[in-house]
Amino acid sequence: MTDNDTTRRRFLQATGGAATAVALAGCSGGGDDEGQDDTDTLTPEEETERTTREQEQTDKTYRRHNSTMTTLDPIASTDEASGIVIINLFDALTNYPNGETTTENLLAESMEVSDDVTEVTINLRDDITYNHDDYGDVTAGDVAYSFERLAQSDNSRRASFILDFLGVAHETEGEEDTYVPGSLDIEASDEKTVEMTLESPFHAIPEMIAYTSFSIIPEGIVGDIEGYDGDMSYEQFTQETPVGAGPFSLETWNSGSECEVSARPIDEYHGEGPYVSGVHWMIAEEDNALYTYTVLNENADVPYIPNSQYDANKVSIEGKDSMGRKYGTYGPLENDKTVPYYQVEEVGVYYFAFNQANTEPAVRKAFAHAMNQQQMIDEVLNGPGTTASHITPPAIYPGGKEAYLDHEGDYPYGLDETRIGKATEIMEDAGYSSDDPYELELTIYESELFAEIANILRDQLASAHVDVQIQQTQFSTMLSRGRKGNLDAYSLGWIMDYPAPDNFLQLLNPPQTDTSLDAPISYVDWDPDESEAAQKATDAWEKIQSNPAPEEGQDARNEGYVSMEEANWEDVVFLPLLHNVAENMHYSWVEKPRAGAAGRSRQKKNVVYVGERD
Amino acid sequence: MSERTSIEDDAPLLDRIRNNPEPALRWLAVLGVLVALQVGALFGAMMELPPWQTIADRLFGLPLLALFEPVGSVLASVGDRLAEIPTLLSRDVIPNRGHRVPGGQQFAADIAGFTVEFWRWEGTFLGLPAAIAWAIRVTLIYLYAFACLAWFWKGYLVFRNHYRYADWTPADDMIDRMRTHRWGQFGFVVIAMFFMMAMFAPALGPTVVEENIQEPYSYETKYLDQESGEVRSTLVGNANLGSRSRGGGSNGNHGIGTYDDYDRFHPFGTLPNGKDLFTFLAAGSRVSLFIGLLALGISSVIAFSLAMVSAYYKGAVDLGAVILSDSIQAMPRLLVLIGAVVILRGTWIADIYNGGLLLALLLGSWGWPAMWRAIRGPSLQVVQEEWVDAAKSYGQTPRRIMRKHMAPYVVGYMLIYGSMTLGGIIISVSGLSFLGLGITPPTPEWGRAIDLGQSYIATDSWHISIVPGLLIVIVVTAFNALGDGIRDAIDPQSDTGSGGEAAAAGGGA
Amino acid sequence: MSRWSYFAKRLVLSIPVILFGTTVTFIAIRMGPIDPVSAVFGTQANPDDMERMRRQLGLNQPLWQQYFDFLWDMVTFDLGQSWVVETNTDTIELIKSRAPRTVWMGFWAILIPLFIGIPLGFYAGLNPNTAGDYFASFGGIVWRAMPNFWLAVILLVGLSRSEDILFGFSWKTFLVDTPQVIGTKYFHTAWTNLQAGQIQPMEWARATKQILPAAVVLGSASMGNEMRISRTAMLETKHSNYVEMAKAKGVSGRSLVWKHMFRNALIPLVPVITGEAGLLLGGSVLVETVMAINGIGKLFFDALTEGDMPVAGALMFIFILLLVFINIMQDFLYTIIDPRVGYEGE
Repeated sequence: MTDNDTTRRRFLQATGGAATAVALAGCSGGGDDEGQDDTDTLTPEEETERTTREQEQTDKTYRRHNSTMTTLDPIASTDEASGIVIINLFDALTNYPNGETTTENLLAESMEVSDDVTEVTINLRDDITYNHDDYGDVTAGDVAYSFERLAQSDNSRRASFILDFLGVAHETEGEEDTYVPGSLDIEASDEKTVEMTLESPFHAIPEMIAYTSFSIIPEGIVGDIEGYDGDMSYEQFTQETPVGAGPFSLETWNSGSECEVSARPIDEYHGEGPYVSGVHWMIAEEDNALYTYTVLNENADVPYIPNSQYDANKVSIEGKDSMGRKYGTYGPLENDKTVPYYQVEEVGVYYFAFNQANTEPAVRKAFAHAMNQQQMIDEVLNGPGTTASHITPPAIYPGGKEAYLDHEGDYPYGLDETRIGKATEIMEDAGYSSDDPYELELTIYESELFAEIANILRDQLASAHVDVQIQQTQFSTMLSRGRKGNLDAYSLGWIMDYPAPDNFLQLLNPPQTDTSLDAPISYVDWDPDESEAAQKATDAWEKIQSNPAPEEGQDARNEGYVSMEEANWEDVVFLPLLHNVAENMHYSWVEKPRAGAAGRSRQKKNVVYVGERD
Repeated sequence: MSERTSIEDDAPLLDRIRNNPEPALRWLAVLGVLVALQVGALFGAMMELPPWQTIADRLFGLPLLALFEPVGSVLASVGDRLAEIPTLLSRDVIPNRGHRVPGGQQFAADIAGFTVEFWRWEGTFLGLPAAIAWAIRVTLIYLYAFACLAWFWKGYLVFRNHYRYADWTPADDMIDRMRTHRWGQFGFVVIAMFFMMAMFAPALGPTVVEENIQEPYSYETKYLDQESGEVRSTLVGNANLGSRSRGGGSNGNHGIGTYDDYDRFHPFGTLPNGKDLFTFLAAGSRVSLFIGLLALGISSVIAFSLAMVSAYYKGAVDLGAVILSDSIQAMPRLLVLIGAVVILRGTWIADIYNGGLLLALLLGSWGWPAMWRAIRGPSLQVVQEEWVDAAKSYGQTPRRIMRKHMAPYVVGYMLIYGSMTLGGIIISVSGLSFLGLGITPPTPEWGRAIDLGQSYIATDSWHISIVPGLLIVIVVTAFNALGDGIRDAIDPQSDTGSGGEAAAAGGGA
Repeated sequence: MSRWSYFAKRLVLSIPVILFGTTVTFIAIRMGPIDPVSAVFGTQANPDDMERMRRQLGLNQPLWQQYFDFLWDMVTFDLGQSWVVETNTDTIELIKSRAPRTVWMGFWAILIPLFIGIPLGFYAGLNPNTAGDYFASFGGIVWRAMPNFWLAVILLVGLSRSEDILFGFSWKTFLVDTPQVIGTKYFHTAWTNLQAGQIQPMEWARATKQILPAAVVLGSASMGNEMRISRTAMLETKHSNYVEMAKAKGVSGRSLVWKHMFRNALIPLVPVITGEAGLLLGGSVLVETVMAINGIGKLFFDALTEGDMPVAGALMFIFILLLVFINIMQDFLYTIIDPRVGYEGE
């Protein structure tokens, strides 16, 4: 829910795959399509070499806000708020610099992979040290310990990352295939070299181990795995002295009120910076309180503009940078400041989904006819965003944005139109009337945006003999009900894991939507035996899977992608709503590289410089 | 009150009226006129207020009761038919919805810095501006309602002067005390206005819930397009989107007593989604009242019967009641409410009446211990009176003793407590709605309006939160005032302890 | 019945009360639709990870066994570790770190009504039917009728913009400088330093100023109650026989008020003051949510909505213990202050 670099509340919540970091090696983000943006007269600027700042630390603390954090243990953290702090305390072997879409080595000097992509040798840098005096250099033994902890510890919430996704070779026992402690095939062959063996080839090793769960901590610091007593108690490690190789060390973390980290000396940290003396996060979640704190009282270096205070007319765009990010200013704010502003296009989609087994085709079609995507963006989102006709975002649509817009012409339910008359007709043909409306339960999680959109749709569909009952529940409750197949219709979003259409369209692969499975990927019960379109989608997905070759298989895959989109239109499984654009701003005295599209919370704060405040 | 039991059965009221029919007939004649004026609205309210449809669905779903379904539907259609009888104060007689006539204003003048414009209107009452037409209707409705109220009072006086057997009863003293109790009267008048708001909600609003809030895309509205100078029509839903209050500036704001671009008048302004706040609040008063009265009814029944039984039998029964009520009271009420609503969200019970029934049940079943405590003392006292002993020795059944000899004494205390509790319930319900729990959209409810406007309180759209908040303050104050009045009237010496006080505060919401 | 056996009886009777509350909490959280494991993993749910967590937390055990484990843990005061809100942190630590803020707010929320509500009520009771009485009584009722959440929103916004609304009066710089109008920032510093043995009056002053708006809101209902009760109590005492008697004996006005009336008028206030505990606990959820104070009210709300059984269960258990204890103490106090109260009634 929190979003560190977005200063408007991110009121949309999206799902990602099991491992957000799994990005296809070799594919870069959506930057190459930017030139085709015909609605947009701005041309991206040439890439300029970023001038490296003089290595000097100021006495300024960078002040931000955050939501409630759950833990500082990298292997236990599952929420974004904790991740924002964790990434500044701990370094992993690799990293997404500034949250851009490609990884770089961080603690690793180099990484060698055998030809069959199963043997991995990692060499560590020589100049890497921990942020605590009692622990010196980062060694290969630390890496083995950290990875073993991720696999074995009871505190680990992400064991599947190393055991299943990365798939480091290991032994299991018992009926439930539990992991045998110490059996991970990972070894420190010398002080600075780690060798590990994977069970099967894995295509995105650097992307995977950039995840905060793979952060490196000193060997034996906590005793939650076999063979270690621990230098300190688990509580002390997670709350007082989280020792890592990151640019900052923990000063205080006061549960639910504030968290402060202080910078390591600038010559001690192996990377750039840190230029600030520390980072302070005020922990709060309430709109009025945050607005008061960051804008009225200017207690933070980043303004927080809740929806009620946001005014689209205050944005002025000045240009577009080499990564296709529009930038300019926003303001004046209520404190008379005008602040630097930029937009980052999210490669993602927000949609309504319908459980095929629980809803009638007519009502789904009526819903689609009534939905006016442009109206929702203009009236509710009240900011940048593009209407969605497909599940695959334009940036990665086969053939790019042009093909996306071209194919949009075939959208059967009136894109950007409110067709209540048509919806009524369909419902009347299906035998419903105003005295006997169809009852549809629409479940949304606690999101202001979806609540408003759902209410507008409810109003509109009320005239088309559909009685929409809006159920707002806890996000987690919605998901667990979805997994059990108990939802009629629900709202969600999906942000890319890796930039390829199959990352989105897998949600629509009928066999994976069966809610009688343990973990269906989406909760729509799209059954190939019941519907022709579902059969079409199943076939298309098989076609995509059977043509994995990067070059030769491309055409066949593209065909498969498009026919899945069309099958989705036919049955209205997912009703696409919009592709979001994130808006970022900070006060003018803050200088930092703009964040990238992959993970805005992943930008380490060592690159931030805070000048004289007004 | 005990004296009455012996006198009552002397001569039936009907006989007494037959002996001297004139005053009664005069009174009835006027009453008949008053009722005739509004008979349609009366049935309308009866058909609308309780969730008949849901009740029927649940009831006729049961095996045996399904036999009665035809009877139910006949009743429903008769009720609907009766509800269609035209009424004097309906929207059709004094319509306020219309549009300006093209051709510019009749006159415009600057008076003391304010610009006064006067347009001719079409569709409104006598071609008056929408605001004035609306104000006339509201005034008439309240005049009518107070006239009715006064007439019922008159009826009581007629009964007292002409037909009552006893010259004096203790109730007279109470009423006399109430007549000089200005504070209680203030409460009574405000509460009366609140009830009238709930009763006449469909006629009071500048528009109706069905068109403005429930199905805005099924209706059209006509307006004078200022730019082209033509009269156009648009869907209400679209007009709503064009008249939202979202903080002013380019996001739009329609504050208290303003017109929007679609020639619609908004006495209290609009909500962030462009719906009319006054209509929303008027309809919301029905929801609040329904929840409040139902919850109060539930807790009264439990508390009252338990008080009777535990006071009569004492011993183990009393101890059990003490433990049960202690158990319930040991859990902070608001926390329990929040928890229960969070957990029951999404179940069928939360769907009935848009969550209203669930809230009423929870408030009722968690509210009785406080009430029981408040009336336990008086109940224990009355059991010790000699007339109860006497009744026992005459061999009357416990049921009859409780009903005839104990209940009347306790009812007064229930009234005091009930009045105070209603205020607390209104606060609790709006507190839950404020947290996004409780009443589901689009059902109008006061707390929901506060919640919707919460983030706009510091902007030009402050009216969204402030107006319903003030209404709650006024209504709750009035309920407390009424409670004070009743207490002073029933028993001027007493001040029932802390029970009522805590209840009035809504458990910390 | 002696005082002590009465006391013992009360203690025994409180056992079913506590059992009832804990059971209801367990049923609500564990049998309701909220799934803590889903709450932890959110969207990035891997079935293996979820299963692992279920095993670790013992969620795959039969429900009745979980229930008895839970009861036993509560009874032995083994409050366990948080599941969701602050993963793997001891519940007791979590509560300890959040509680001081709520206690600080609650402290003022009790104190303000005591020192404003009661004196006002006594004043009104001593001068009934004067303009001052009407003003105080009416103000008290209206004040109490304001919903906490509404008052909180208005105070938060109003004080932050006091320069615009109150003709240039700046609450932020009033007396001591508190740029953040409401919060527990200064309290936190002051409290940490106090534990280190330092007393910083300026920090405490700021801490107080920062918490006052929240405390005023939280105490608003209590203040109205206390005022009304104390007014009535004073009125009654004033007309009681012994005061008339004392007057006849020629006891001076001042001594009469302070020595005789004041003490007796306080008696009916005892249940009102102890009864505030429930209001404070309930109200803290709303006030903390609106005013962004991360205390135990907010903690409870989060734990409940995310199915964090150890935290929500432990908090509810503590709340119940607290309320039961306060109730017993109240009755006990009563028997000491007011010897007329017998032991039979309860």
